[in-house]
Amino acid sequence: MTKTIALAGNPNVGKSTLFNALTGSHQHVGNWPGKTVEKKESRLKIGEQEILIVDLPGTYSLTAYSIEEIITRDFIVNEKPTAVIAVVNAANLDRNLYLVTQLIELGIPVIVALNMTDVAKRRGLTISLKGLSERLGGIPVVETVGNRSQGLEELLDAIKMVLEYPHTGNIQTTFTGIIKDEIDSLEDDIEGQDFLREIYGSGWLATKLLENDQAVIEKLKSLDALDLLAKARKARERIEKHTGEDPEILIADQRYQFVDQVIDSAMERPRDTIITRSEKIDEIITHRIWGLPIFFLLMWFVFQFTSNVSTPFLDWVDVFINEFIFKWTWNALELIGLGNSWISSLITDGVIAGVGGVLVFIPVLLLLYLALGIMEDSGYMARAAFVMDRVMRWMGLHGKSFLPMIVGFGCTVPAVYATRTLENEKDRKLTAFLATFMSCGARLPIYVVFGAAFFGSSSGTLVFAMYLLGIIVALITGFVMKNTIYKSQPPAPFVMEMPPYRIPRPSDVWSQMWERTKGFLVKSGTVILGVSIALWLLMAIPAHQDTGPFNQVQAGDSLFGRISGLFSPIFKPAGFGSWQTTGSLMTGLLAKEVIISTTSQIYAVENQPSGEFTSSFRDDLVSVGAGFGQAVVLTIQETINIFPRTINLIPFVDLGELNFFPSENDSLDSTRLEGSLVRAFAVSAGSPEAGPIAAVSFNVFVLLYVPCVAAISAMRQEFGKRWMWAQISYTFFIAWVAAVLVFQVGKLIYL
Amino acid sequence: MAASYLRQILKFFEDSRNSVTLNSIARELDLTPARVESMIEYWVRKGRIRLAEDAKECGSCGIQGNCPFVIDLPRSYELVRDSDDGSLLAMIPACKQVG
Repeated sequence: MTKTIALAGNPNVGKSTLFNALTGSHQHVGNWPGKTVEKKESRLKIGEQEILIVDLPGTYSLTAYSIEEIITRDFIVNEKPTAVIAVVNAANLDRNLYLVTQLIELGIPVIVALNMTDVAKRRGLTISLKGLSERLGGIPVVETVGNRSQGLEELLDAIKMVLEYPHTGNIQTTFTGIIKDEIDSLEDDIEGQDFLREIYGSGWLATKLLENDQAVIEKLKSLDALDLLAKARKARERIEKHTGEDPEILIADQRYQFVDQVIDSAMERPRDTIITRSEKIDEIITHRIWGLPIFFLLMWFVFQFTSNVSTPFLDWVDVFINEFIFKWTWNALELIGLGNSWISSLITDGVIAGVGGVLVFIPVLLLLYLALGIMEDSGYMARAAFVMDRVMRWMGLHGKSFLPMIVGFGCTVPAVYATRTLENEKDRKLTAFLATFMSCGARLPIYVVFGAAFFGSSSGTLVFAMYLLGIIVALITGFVMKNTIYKSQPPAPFVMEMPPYRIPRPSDVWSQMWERTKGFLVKSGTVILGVSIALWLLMAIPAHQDTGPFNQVQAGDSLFGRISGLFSPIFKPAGFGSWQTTGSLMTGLLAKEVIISTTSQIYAVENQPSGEFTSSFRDDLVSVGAGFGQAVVLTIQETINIFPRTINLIPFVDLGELNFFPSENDSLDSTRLEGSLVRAFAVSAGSPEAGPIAAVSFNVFVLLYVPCVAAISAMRQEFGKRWMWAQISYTFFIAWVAAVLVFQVGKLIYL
Repeated sequence: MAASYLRQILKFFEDSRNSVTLNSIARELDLTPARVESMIEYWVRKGRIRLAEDAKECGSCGIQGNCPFVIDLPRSYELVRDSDDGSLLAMIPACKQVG
């Protein structure tokens, strides 16, 4: 007869990996009868004995609250496998042993596969296999690392042993006091009824009856065991009278206490040191007064780091793409007879200027991802959300609203969906509304290019100011709306899991950086490439036949230039009422970083390189190489300069900054696009002095105006058309008012 | 008779005026954070506490799983109040793994 061994365990403990390692590729995959939960089984030969291995669904307990729990429980009770392998995450015994105690209570032979022991060891946990086995009533405990197939021999030996000598664990000590007395009493009654003993283990059934388990009670009703049910009800009443507590809670609590005792005697952990150290750091980092300034100081560092430190490589990539690649692509096209054709224009002015204009920001994004990776991996990100909870609560908003808002720093679309974690519809709508003001990652390149063009080494300050302004506008809007149209009950507090602080692992941070940068490259190769080609076409089509033939029209007279020009007067009071900026804001609705690719394309067309390219390929290559070396040195310089720049924020303190290339500094800070922007904003603002003010005003508008189409569509899907239009109108209005205020007040103050 | 740990944890949620961390509950009850979380999960199963997991969803955005801008956040728990509209929980889709 084929014997059956079932694999049970919590979700994500490596159960399936162990199943695969044990059974190889000969698996049968289907569904559990009548359920949509996947069922996997396979046959395994141990010696002459063939056994069926069944992978049960991942579950935390054997109560009957979820479909996975019911499937697992019913399989063990009804199918009566020869043994169950309880796969346990050795790094999280506290959570995993709860299920193991319940499996043992079922009265079947259990083998514990202590999986992920490598992770447990890395965390400094020492588990005594012998101690664990003894405390669990003598059941076999085997160490495994499923993904490396370690411990499989030992596990097979344990299975062999259990097949020969089935042994159930004896953990009667789980329950104490009146619970134990009542279980014992009910067990006696069950033992006296053969038809029940054949189906259930008496201890398990007694426990379930005291827990008032409805599935079991219904089953007993169908078996006409009414006397037993009446006794169980009286037993529950006695416990409640004696303790004032629901027996189910007392039983669960005693199981947890038992698990605690098992862990105390079988595991050593450096818990005190790690927790104490993290808590000590938290006393400062999440302090009710210091927490917020520390959060802003860290933000300051992050944006100094991403903006200023990236500038040398940003400039180098800019020269590499927009000069070297641009020039030699042009030359190659000319060589094959396509010079000055629409194809060469599409490739150089469309694809290279558009996509290249955005790719230039890879150094900025790499550093942003590095900073984010370090913050996430070190455990700080959770603290930031926790610190902001107080501010949100103080303003009457739901503290948990800051979670979607932090997601909004990355992208507005998942931030809108993340509001689903709020249970109140009003809180959800309000939070989604506010999340759009958080400066998403796609807006960062825009601040960086404007910061570098207009403020040189102070560009990090502009970036920091934009992020801060987004938070402030969100908080003010939230405060006003919460006290007018969105009045609701006070928000419920929440409990947040705080991972212990740890030194970020370079491999993890690098992997995050790479994954995110890869994502940005994919976006450049799809969305931005598409928009760049479409934009090139719109800029090549003349608005009127008198303005010139296809692809030879002045940019301002193209279809795109004329349409943009229609709306540009709206932005005159804000200092950037040119068709170029209006056009880039319009395309920016597709994706915010498209603003940069559009700007880059517009100015590439307007400022076509004149004359012949005379230098040789070799000379250019040497020049690119030398530029790379210089960028490395300047990156070191800018990294060091963050510290004097931060200290110089203190009034009357003026520390000197490093400057390795004093004579070339000015030219390094200005790329072709940056130079074009400075000239264009001087014109639209009315004077060169007003240009930087108009640039800030433009950035404020970019920060606050209507989010991209993907975010708008998410809003519509979640909250309906009406809400979407309200959001579009409000964000456009608030962005316009803020930009006009910045420009007009700025002019009054500085000019 | 002293209240059970499970009951004390639920009371923490019911009585708290401000948000707290798992670590601070653990310190208060002299338990490990992992055990507190394990016990909170008991109440989650019973429907008294809700897990507010970061529901990653990118709607119609064409980048989907390759998005560079999605940030992971830690889990948080909160009390389910009688007045809450539990149906919203059913709207949370399975998390899409990003990256």
